[in-house]
Amino acid sequence: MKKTLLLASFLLLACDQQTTNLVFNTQNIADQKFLMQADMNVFLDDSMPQDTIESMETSLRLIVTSSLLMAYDDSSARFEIKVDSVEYTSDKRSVEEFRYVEQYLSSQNFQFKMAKDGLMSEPVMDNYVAHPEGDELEIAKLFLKIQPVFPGKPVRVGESWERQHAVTGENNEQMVIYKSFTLEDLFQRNGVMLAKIRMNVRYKQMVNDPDIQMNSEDFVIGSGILLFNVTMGVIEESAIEVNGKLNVTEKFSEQNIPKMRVIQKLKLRSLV
Amino acid sequence: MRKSLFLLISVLLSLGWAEVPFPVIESGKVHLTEKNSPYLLETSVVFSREDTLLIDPGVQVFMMPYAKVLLRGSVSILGTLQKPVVFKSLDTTKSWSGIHFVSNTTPFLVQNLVVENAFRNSVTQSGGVFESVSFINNYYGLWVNSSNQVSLKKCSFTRNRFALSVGAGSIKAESTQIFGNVFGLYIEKGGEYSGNLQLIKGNLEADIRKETEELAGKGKTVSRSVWHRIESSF
Repeated sequence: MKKTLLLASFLLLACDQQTTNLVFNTQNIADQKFLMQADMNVFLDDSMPQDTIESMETSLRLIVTSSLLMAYDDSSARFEIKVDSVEYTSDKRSVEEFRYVEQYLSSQNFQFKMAKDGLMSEPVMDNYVAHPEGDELEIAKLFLKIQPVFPGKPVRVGESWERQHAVTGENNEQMVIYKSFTLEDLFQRNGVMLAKIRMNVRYKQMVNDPDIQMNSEDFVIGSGILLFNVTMGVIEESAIEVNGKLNVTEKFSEQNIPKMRVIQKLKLRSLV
Repeated sequence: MRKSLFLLISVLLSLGWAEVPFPVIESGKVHLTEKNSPYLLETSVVFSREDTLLIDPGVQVFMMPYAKVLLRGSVSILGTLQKPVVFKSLDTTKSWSGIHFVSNTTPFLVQNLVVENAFRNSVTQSGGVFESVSFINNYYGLWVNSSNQVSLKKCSFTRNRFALSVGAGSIKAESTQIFGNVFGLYIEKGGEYSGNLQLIKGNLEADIRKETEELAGKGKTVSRSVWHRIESSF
């Protein structure tokens, strides 16, 4: 009898150790620095020989500071992301254009509201005026893509959940990003509890402006791993690779460009 | 006593030359006058479709780095030969983000304007007239895209990296000179330029380039703007 009770207690304890409540710290978190890296590779998805394929490679590296501006009673909070430094390169732009991109990205500070489950809303850019061509990069979009959303209840290792983000696009079209997660592991490192979470995203890409129409035939899909610091309630590091095929039409020439394959690798790492 | 007098005169002089902050848009209108010039634009200003910008002859507007002027409403910039309107950076070693016309409801009228040191000036989905406008030492002097009713009359482009670029759409040019730039006229895929090509000369790398021919020469199909739109929207 004693042995059975001991075993039951052990199992209960083990079970507790394998269950956690994933929540962001939205009440008293100190400023945090992050390194964000976004690499993109786009190429014509056809059967041409590799050395003649048309392609684009870009790389963006940012250091940002995230600050809690206001904590609300409903456990949500308003945060601000300030850009500390930017490095950008692309094989489709000149060095002067790199510097210009770095200039405008460095002024793209933005605020957003975040619930404790990680759901972001009301993104607002501070004093930033986007160029009318719609060809400027947007930092907030990258953060939204890599941001996890938790289930709002305790989860066990091995358990999965799904959440979705509604995003308003450039021409006010609504795009929904479907995200699914699996808690793969819980472990201690340097005295803090870390959760290893697999993250999958899928969404339909749509752009329809006077010059160009662009949409993904199937879902754009992405997959990656997130390490969440459960003790502190912050992202430790995250990496995701997004992959999609795009149909692009230049409206003025009514030219359908052969399908484009886009691969985007996003990495986020806490520098604290 | 002399020192105090000198100090007083210096202060008065500096006050007299101080730039006036670019005015806030009130009652849908901004009117820049020579009397209050020079103005200083520190960040960026956006004129909505309902707003009007009117600039008198002789007005100077200095731009801080990254400052941008985005014009969606009615625009009348009315410089004269004797008193042109000038937009340029306060610190000439740093560029500003440029003046951008997106006024697709009302044609703009820009006369005797000098635009200096901007990264890129543009016209998007708009129509209007640039008359006796000088684009000097900009990275992109003027970039016209998705616009079919833009006229350049007696304009000049000098010391720009890329003087004039025409994206999808067309430009009509009269007596417009493009000289002494690194690259002169660039006609992107879907763009048309109607004007005297003899006035496009003396540019360092090339006078006239056509994207369609460049792409065909390299056996490529995808234009620069398509790559950039994929990058920005993905």
